[in-house]
Amino acid sequence: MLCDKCKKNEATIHVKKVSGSKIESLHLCAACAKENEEQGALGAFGFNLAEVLFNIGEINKQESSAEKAASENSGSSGEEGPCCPVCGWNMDNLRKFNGRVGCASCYETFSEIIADALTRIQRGKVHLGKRPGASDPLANTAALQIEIERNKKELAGFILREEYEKAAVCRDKIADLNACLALLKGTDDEQ
Amino acid sequence: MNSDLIQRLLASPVSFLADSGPDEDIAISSRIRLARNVRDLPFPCAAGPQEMEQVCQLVRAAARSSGTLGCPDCLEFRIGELSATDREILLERRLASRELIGNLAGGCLLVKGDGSCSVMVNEEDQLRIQVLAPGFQLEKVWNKINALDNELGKELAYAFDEQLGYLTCCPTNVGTGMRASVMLHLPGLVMTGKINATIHGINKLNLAVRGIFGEGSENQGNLFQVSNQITLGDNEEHIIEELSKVIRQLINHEKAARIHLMEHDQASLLDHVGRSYGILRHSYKLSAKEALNCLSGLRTGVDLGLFNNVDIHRVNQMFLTIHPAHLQKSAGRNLSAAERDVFRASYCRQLLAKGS
Repeated sequence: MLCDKCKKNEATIHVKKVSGSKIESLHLCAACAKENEEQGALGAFGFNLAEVLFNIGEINKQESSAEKAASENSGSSGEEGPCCPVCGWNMDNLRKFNGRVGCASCYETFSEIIADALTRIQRGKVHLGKRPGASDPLANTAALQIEIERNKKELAGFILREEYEKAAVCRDKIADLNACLALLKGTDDEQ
Repeated sequence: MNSDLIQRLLASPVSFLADSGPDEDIAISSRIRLARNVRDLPFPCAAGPQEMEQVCQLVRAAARSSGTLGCPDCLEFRIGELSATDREILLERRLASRELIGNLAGGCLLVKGDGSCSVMVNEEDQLRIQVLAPGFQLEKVWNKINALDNELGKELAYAFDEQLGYLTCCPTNVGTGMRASVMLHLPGLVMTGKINATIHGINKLNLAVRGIFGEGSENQGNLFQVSNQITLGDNEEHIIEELSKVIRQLINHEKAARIHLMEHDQASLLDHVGRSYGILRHSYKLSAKEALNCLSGLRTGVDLGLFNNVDIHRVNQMFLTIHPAHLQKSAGRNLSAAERDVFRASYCRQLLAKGS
């Protein structure tokens, strides 16, 4: 089968797009699929991680109206969304590179949308693992306290909704976190 | 220079396939990788050649001064200086990812002599530290990679945030930056038709199931890679403990499925094993896909004690050496797809003839 786009090479990548009851098939050669993906249009695999991760379609819709007013006030270039002052990464890059960011500072620049994405895909909002230069992986009492508070709020919600199984898991997690905290504070006191 | 290093690599056995490990009848290998970046330098997707080179120099210097990876005697590969076949060799041996070998401008790989530890430089993240071991032994692998990471971390200022942990190029890895996985051989669950329900169940537990070459690859040879998805909101030991519990259950399910087949459908099971051996031992044209599926059948037979002349580690290594780049290295020249199928068949015939 020949590639639908260039009509020259053998198609090796077959994409099926399902929207409602409509199914569209696309047969591409490797070169055209790569080109499609680089343009960020649909992606060779019919799916752009950034779209799903950061809900970019929705953000663009909301921002397009708010953006006009903002750009008039600030005199910005009119490009949509935030732009990293360190590496210059913007929403287009985020989309084109499948949800990747350009540097450590991007986490600050895109903090809102990243926080939203992390809430959906991760277990918590605070790092509880090892830390550079620390022999104790949990030597972070501040982070632990934030995590305990977050879990307490979650627990209250579960109880309110009578989701007792989830509440029990959450209660045990709070107990574990408290134990970690007590242990850490204990070692701090000894020092 | 680089091709000499590839020859050195090819001359040494692949430890995670050739050596014995716990539960090796079902678990082929355990792997953990950590994503790390250096503070104040852009991530590879936003970096130019000079910045990537700077990262390479920093990582190489850190490996040398800390003595990790056996440096200065570790193997160093510049991706851009390797031939296409040599790049594929690194991929097939699971030392490099598709993304790394695609970065001709700045990709670099440091490998310990025995292939058990490596650092990919300028992959998705600036550093992807990796440790591989045979069988099911995630805890030991964690201890090893944790020590390696600590050593490198003394030399490199990692990008780290008090709340978000290790900052990674893709926010799906932020926090621990850790992906732990076990490669499992699950022919029993496939033959009893239970694999789809099993994968569905695993996905619900926030774990991912992938094919033999990780992300985006389909299942071949009944090999499945099970890994954690969560990287933020839990610590490394607990993530590994949870993953290990699921792997242990999967191993038990696979054992039960094999016993069920032996008791209730022995003829089908033995037929599958026998045909697989027959094709590997007597065919004259063999595609990679067919070879992988037959090797799965052969491995099942070895696990069930049906062959006393075939060693499980030899079958493990055949899972690697029947791939295109390794075949071409054995042949000593480039082979077309059709030539490879003929060479692959001959290679399998010879290897199995040695055992009988």
